[in-house]
Amino acid sequence: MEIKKKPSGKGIDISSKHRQLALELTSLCLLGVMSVAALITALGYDFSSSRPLFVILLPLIVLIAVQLLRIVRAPGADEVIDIVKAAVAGKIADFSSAIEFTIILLLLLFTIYILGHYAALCLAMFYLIRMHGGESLKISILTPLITCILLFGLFDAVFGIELFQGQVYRYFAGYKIW
Amino acid sequence: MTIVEGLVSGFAQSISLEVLPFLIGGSIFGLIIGIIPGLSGHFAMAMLIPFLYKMEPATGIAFLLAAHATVAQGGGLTAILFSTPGTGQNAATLLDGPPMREQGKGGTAVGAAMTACFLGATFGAIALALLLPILREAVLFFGPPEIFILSFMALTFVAVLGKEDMMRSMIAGLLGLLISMVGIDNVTNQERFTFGFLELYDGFPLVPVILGLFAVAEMFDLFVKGGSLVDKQHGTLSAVETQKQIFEGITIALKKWWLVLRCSAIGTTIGIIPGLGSAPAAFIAYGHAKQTSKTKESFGKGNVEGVIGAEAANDAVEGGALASTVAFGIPGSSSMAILLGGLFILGLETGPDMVTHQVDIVFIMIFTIIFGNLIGTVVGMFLVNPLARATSIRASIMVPVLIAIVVTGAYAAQGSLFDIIITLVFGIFGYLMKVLNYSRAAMLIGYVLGHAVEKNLYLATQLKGAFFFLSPIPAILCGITAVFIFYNVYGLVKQRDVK
Repeated sequence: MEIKKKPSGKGIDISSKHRQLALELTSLCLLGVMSVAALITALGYDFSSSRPLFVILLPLIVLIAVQLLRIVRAPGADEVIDIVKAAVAGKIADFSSAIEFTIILLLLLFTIYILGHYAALCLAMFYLIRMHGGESLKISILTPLITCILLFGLFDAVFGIELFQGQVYRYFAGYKIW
Repeated sequence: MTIVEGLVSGFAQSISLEVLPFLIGGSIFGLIIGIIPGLSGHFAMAMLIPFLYKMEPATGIAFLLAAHATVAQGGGLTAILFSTPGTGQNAATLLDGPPMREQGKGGTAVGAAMTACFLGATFGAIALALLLPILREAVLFFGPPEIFILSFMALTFVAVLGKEDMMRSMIAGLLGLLISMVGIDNVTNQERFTFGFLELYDGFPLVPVILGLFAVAEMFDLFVKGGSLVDKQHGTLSAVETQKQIFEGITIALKKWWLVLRCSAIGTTIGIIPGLGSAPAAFIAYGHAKQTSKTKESFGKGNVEGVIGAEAANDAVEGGALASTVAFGIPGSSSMAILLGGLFILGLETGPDMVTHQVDIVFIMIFTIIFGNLIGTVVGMFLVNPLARATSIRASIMVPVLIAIVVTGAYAAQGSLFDIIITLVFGIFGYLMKVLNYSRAAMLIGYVLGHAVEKNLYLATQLKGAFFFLSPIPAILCGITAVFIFYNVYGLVKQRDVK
């Protein structure tokens, strides 16, 4: 397995071909299990409703199985478990970055729910520009502010769409929030 | 509505004060998105989709299609000036555009490319207009059995002819169809895969799915890659010198009108075939330009004919691609699938009704392509240096700004936080597909076609029984699909044996 230290020392860089193989194998296994579960669920539906599902799911499961077979036969497939372990341990830089971005997006969603749309966007943008991007404080403050003002102008003022105000605002405004 | 009535009404609506600002806005937006490497035509359209809920049909179509129409122009500009194609479809421009820049003829290449783009797009749009009388007659032969088989045929073409691996693309297409089945079945009222979520009763909403698959997935990619968007910055020419060269480029492109016409015809023809798209059209046109040129030896070293051929075909594709989308409701690419989704949001239905009773809508599309490209050409030519600065925006600033717009767009479509969750889920899914080379276009087309497939399958079995596919037209379409799959699988097996 081609494993080498990244120059930055941030993580381990496994050759992209082997990484892709491991990622595809795990994703397809998951997809295969979900497809079989969907097929079993579809068996319980009215025939008119399940007919198109069978038309789709049966070839889908066959194609997934064939693709899995192709991957398993490919050179480097025996290293998949090692790669998955390295990914879980945070040693693959790209994978860790993608996970980090996913967590940031989930936190953004949670913050929107609590603090409201504009406040959450400002905080998330500030974090991404300043903490992650390493930009200057001026850019990190001005960019979120200008973006939010433009979004407010476009959505609220022009299109009349009120964005989510957050549970904190709703609580103080007298809404029953729970 | 007659074709002449549709033409007059479509033209009047396109240049009306309600529509024109959106057409101009969409064109400039598309041009900027095209210039930024990594962001493509479907990204531009995905970003605009949430706004359609508040728009009239004519305004929405102009806004959406104008953005899509000018993306290739912006991409060509970046390909010539920075050796980085703004979009995949401009890859052929890389062969002769950058060498021209190295020779100090960057402005000439830009002028020729922009003019070829405009002429190519106009050719494609006129071809669509000329095809209308034929399409009006042809759609009458297509009932539920034919549309059902045609949908599968289009999906197969997209999966097989797309740039991704055939097996992966077929999986993606079927997944798209499966995703479209979520929600309550209209015929039996059966809940399918809703898991008790009220929000899923109407299925996965279109806007979050499109935003996730195309916009959020690109943000993931930019976030993971980080850094600058172009590897190498080349010095831009002085404003006066650039303008002088641009006018020279325009003159050359106009003088080579016969080449433009031939390459545009190649682009439009390829556009009609689902799945092929702009990139192959541009390469085939480039090859044709080289074959027929008197100066073949200078191709690849900075021949303006190479730039003209590739760019003309690139933009001429749209006219052809619109024909199958408008007439049969069968999109041949991800951009056309997004357009189809946009038309649903605007309350319009493609198919026989559109080409017979709503011809004005088709002509709005035709005029939008022409005017949008004209605006893109003019703006691109005169603001080439300021526009080129868009490539210097760092991913660390662009990603947060675009994420803010995407999240806001996802919520605004229906005022639901659940839609943001769907956007994020499909964003992760889209990124995985991008990394693993699974066709997002096939998945989106499957998703958009899902309802039509199910409805037409139900109607076909009710009308003609279980063996509806044995009727003449469905049988022919099935035969073409089977031969097509067999031919490609045989080719792959043969290729593997040679290896």
